[in-house]
Amino acid sequence: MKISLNWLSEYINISKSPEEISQLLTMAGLEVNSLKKGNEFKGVVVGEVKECVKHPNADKLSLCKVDVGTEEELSIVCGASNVKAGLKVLVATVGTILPGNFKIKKAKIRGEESRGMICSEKELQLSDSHEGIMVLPEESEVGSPFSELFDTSDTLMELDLTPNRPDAMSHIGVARDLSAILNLDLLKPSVKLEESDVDASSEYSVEIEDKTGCPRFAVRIIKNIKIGKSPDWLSKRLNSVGIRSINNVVDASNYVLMEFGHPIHTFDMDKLSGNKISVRSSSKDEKVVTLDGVERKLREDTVLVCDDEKPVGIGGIMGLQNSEVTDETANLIIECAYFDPGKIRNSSKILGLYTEASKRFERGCDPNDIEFALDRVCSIIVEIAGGEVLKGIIDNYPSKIEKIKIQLRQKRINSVIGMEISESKVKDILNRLEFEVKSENKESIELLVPTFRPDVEREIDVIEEVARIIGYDNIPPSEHALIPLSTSLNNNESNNIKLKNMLVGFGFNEIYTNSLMPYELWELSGDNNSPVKVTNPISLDMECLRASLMPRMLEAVSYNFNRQRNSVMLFEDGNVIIPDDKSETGVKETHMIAAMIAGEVNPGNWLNRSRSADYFSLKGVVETFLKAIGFSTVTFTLFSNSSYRNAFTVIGDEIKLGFMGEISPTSLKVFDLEIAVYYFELEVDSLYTQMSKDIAFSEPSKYPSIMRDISFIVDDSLHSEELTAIITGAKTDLLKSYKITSVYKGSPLKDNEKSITYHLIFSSVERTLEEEEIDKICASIINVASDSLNANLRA
Amino acid sequence: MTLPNIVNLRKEFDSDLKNSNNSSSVEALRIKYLGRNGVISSLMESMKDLPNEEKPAFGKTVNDLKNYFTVNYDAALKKANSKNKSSPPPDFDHTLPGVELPLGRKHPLTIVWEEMLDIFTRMGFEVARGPEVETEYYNFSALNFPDNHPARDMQDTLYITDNTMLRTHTSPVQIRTMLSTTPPVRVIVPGRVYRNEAISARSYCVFNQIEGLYIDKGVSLADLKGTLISFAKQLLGSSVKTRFRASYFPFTEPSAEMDVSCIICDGKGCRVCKYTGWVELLGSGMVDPNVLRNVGYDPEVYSGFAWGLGIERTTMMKYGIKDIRFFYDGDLRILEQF
Ligand SMILES: [Zn+2]
Repeated sequence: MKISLNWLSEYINISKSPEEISQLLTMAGLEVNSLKKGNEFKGVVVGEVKECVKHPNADKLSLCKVDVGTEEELSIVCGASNVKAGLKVLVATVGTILPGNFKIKKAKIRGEESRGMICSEKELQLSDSHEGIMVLPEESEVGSPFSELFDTSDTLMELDLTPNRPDAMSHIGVARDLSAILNLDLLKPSVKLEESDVDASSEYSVEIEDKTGCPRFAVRIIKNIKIGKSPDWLSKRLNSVGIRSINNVVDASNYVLMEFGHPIHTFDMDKLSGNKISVRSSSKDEKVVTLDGVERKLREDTVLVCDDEKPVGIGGIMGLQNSEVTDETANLIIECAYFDPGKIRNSSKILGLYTEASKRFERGCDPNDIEFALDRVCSIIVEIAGGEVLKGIIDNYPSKIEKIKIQLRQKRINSVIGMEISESKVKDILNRLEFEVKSENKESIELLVPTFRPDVEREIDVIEEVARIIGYDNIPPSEHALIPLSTSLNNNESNNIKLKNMLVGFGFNEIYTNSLMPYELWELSGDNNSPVKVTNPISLDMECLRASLMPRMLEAVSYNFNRQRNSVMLFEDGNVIIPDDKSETGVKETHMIAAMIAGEVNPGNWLNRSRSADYFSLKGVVETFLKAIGFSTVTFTLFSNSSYRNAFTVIGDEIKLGFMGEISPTSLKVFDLEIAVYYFELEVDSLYTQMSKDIAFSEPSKYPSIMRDISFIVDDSLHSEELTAIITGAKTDLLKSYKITSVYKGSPLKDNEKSITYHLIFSSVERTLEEEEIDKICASIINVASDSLNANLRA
Repeated sequence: MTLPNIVNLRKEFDSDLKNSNNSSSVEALRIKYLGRNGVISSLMESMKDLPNEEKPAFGKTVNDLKNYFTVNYDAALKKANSKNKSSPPPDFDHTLPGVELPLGRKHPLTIVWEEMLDIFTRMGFEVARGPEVETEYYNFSALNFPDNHPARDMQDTLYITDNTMLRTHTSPVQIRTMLSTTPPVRVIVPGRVYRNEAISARSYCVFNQIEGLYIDKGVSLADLKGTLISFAKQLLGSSVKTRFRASYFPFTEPSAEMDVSCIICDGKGCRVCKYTGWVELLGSGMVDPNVLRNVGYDPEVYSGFAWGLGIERTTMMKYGIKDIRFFYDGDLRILEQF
């Protein structure tokens, strides 16, 4: 919403600077986004393009001769496509300084002299439009300075309004808030309208078929007007808020719109057939041509304003071309109505048509200010376009929308705001905001809410009005904001921090990735059935919801490899989402923590050579991670998944926790990666469960432990876990731990043999162990291994 | 033994001492004079053969000699040792770099989230989490977004079906939390939210919010201010200034935006704060009675406040990061700075 400070000062006498005013409004909820002070643009004058030919040396440039009221016509090179002979334009003559310290100089452009510049609206800060040069009305006088056409002493405020405040979409509305904040009088314009003796209702009638879509429809008739140029005061006002002057009648209705906020539409009475206006719902596929010249196909349920034969306007959104006011118009029907916000919003959304009118109607206009708005616009039209106003308003308003009543309790105000506010102060504020006190007693007041405030429906809404006008900054913050309440930090959250700390300690860097992805990436998630999709995606690149953290992580690995990194270890923590018919939302969300290793795991240095990641690097991370969390056994079982070369289910203490594996070459190819990449993904909730278990503390033994190294020679194809099972299955409780310290192939072993060496540690908390008893245990292990696995002891 | 003998011993010691300039010769000195079979021991040994009246004088002389040896030996040992330390073997290049241990980093968004978690935990808040795919009821209706109201346009929604969507804010968790507990309620809610917005330096279709909710008897707007001012000071430093502006959210009434003084320019005005000296930190307000009623709380008995902020935006402000996409690229050159 654009507000001109000069215009605003017609309704309130403020002696504050633009900055102060904008600060006050911002704090009260009408956020001022920018302040633009007027610029005189000395040197910018009205010119007429007398001649316009193609530049001999440049296709897109034109060579113009422009009359700016001086003796000599100026030759100007212009790049806009809409420049042509006969146009009235604004010319920045040599010496003018435009915004951005851009000084206009005499120049040669591609060999042709140019003495000035024909300006666009943007260059003169009139709007953001730079679609070509700005074209002025024909009547504009050649040579007159910019400051005669535009109000240069003005300041323009751009308000970012929240959708609950339709009442602030006008100068009077903004002035009303200021009058409450500053406790100053609001000066509403007074209207004196002279009517003719002829009754309007004798000529015309209004019928409403669609009473929900249009609760009120009213018109006035003015006859024998003369369309023409608007007076300066009017076109300046409109220009100051970025609206172009069109003609006196259209300008008058735009003026009232910006002044008062209620949209008004004018019809050329002679283009309407019959003598009745009816308001009805559209039928399906009805076609109309709107004022902007676009043919539009309607759905059902759009409010249409019709004459006897045809639609003449889309109610509350835009008029139709067939009844437009033109230079020949002599008689006017002036409409001011109230349309249902929901209906306007629906129609405007379906049509993709958002207008100054629809923006106000969809937020809610005042159904009860229609008389005033009509009288105001008619009095201006009569003043500037002549004509006589027929007697009376033809008004169809079957059931009046009454003001809402609200009981406001003084005690409640104080308890919600947390500060004592006097009753008289409350009344002052509400009075300024045009709330009416209907009755009062000791505890409460009964209020009538003005119908231009559809956002105020309850006591709490009124309390907000009071708080907002007093200013939140004037409420003292409480010092005991927090009532002590013993709560412990959610364990899961501190466990989440621990999980991340561990991975960080292992050398992984945390990433956040986009959880929306194209189908081609989603497919890398593994063997899932179908993705959860967004029905209105921003683009197909962001259509599917992640079913695994892998695809985007692989993308991040490739991102870093493409930037000369040769060691990338990443992790991410987040939800994966798959379809689930049984859930309330139709999806199942699982919280996962995932990590990826690619390239060197131990980057080389001058002491040690680097080592590339392999399956055992990944497995080592998973084992260390899970054991640190508290799982005592971690096992891996092979399964098949098309996105992985080898995939393993990860099981901790017999609970399935997730999976890990090496990314398949086809998946790597998507990102042109030529290194091996390893990945694991674990369910966080299962990890939390394990982490919340108590730690079973045991005292270390006071007695020395005994160590043994045993090397077995076994068949090449034997998996170590079989041998390990024999060791851990030994009938003893003295074996405290074991570790594989070497695996060897080669001479002097046979080709189909390998040796595996175990380091065993024995101890007891009760006594010192005897060498002999340990020898006996080892011997029995060796025997079992020899019997069942054909394993021999290596000499 | 006679005294001249002792004088000679001193002379001999002095000359040995002169030659003791490394730790092994110093050790040899100790063995020769102070060792178990050294000079002092044998002198003490010989004392038993002397007549009794000579013993005290002899004893004193030997003792003096022993002190002389000990003092000089200690000094020589110290000197030898210090010499040892200052001269490592010539081939030891201590200027080569040490062996680096791998250490990862947490993402800046996690760092800031954990900081906020810490602050609110100390104020007695618990954490609640909720799903990213929500129903229309939790995301809009229960939060007092009227059907067909422009307020729904404030958040461009990504739909999964007609009735389910990617949550546009973490506020649905307020509803879920209140439905499952009785007051007092004091929770913070972190999580991903989604908006139908093109990706640019200032906006990303996915971002992280943190939301807070506090419901009890007699909670007022003044309590909201006290809590949030304290939060801002803990997060951004005690010198940060705050202000509250009236605003509009369907689920709070009154509603307020909280601005903090720009930490880039210290409130003097710069490009980041659009020369206002203020930057918006969070949106907040008193929970709307309709919302309380929707979860079965009596608004005449209970009141409370809620607030929400974008972790990305706060992190950008805190570290002076200008492009939100940095957070989602996984670029190690960026991540390793935190
Ligand atoms: Zn700043």
